[in-house]
Amino acid sequence: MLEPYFEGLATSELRTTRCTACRGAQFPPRMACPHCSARDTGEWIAASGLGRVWSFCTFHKAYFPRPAQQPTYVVAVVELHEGSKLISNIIGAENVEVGMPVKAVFVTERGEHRVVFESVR
Amino acid sequence: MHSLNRAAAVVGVGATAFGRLSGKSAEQLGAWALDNALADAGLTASDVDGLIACRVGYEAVAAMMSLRPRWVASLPAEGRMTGPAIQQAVTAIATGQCHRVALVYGNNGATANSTYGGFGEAYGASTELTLPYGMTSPGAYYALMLQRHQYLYGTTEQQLAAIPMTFRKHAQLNPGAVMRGPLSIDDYMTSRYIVEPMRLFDYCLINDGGVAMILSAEDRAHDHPKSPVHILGTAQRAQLVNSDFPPEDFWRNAIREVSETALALSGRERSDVDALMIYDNFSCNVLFTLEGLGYCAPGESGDFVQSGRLERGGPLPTNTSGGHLSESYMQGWGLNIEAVRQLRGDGGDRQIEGAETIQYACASPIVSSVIYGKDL
Repeated sequence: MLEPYFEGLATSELRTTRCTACRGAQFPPRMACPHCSARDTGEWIAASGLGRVWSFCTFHKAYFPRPAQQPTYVVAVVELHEGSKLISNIIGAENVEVGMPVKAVFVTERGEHRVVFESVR
Repeated sequence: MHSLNRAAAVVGVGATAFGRLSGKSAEQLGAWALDNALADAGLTASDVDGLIACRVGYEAVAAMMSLRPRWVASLPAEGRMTGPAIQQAVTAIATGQCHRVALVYGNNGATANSTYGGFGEAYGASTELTLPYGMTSPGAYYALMLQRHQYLYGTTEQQLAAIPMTFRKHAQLNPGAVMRGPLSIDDYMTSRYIVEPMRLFDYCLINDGGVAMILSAEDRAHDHPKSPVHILGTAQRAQLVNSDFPPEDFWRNAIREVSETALALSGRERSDVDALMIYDNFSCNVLFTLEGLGYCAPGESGDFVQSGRLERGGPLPTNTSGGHLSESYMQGWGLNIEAVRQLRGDGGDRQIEGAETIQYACASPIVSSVIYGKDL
């Protein structure tokens, strides 16, 4: 169900889904809409890539061996303007804050496409 | 529904030592605990006709202990299943499917070097969306919740410190606790972050160990060496949709519903509760649980836990064993047998004077609660 999302990342487009019945935004997509429970009503839309930090945490413990990123790094729940959330990293910010406006930045490393976020203040 | 109420009592509890018990499997730890629980109940394996296996293989435990149950259930390893396991056992007894259930839990997390994070130990439903960003572990999930709580309500690290410090004081009175040294505010504030804003002492203690309980039908619960402790009411509420993300309400609504249901089944009011056993996988979960239970308004838990309020001898004794933070992370089972020990008067140096009703509560994607009573 995530193929359109990963295809989007490869072309620097952030995609999320929206329910054609209730218009509720959702990510990751589900068979049933979490807002209205309608089945198979999630349509892919191109998101603006703009959002806010809903919350974040800073990893000091290394859970993954290299070449994975090493501490410290910031993991955030980003709430997109479209209404859905996703888990990502915040890059380049000294002081991350909840509520901080952020925008998507697309990165490719070792053939893997990801979307991270940076402050737009 | 009400026929499930007050149908079963705890007639035996047992635990292993907690710590690094190298070479023992989870099943061996569970069997060790079950041996102790059977002895506590004055029973042998052949007296048990029901089995719930938690984090251990039901087949291995039954074979090891020569159990011949006519009713068996097995639940997955998450600690959120502990309350539901007890609820299932009560239901099986209330409906006459069996009369004496052994609930067996074992965990060899220390021997297995579990960190509950990294590849193969991911957390949440969609790991292909989290692992590339270095997101892993239940601790990080709770760190996101704590950060949000701090942002919304101004909760401080100094306020949070009261929880691990209080539970450590309790552990100092518990010979079975793993961490029994003093814990000062300086110790806490200078400890390292694991996933900021959570520090080392905000995390539970991963150890080897096992816990077992024997539940009996009420009509034969008095045929045992120790006084029965009655299970007055149980309830659960799942909140699994989009649970890959922390809940907006810190599970407050689910906790309130579960607690109100369990108390109503018990014929008790919140003011009847003499002590709490709160699932403290992380210290901040105690904050969220207290708010959900209604002891303080949303956002006020940081202030609420000050001034020794949760200490034994205080107005709301909580996790008198030391809990997951200082006794050992036994995924709720240690807290449940602590409730039983307290209501029997077996609390030793940490006995809560006059305790008659104790509530277990677990805040997680499946919220659950169990109300224990000295009397029916």
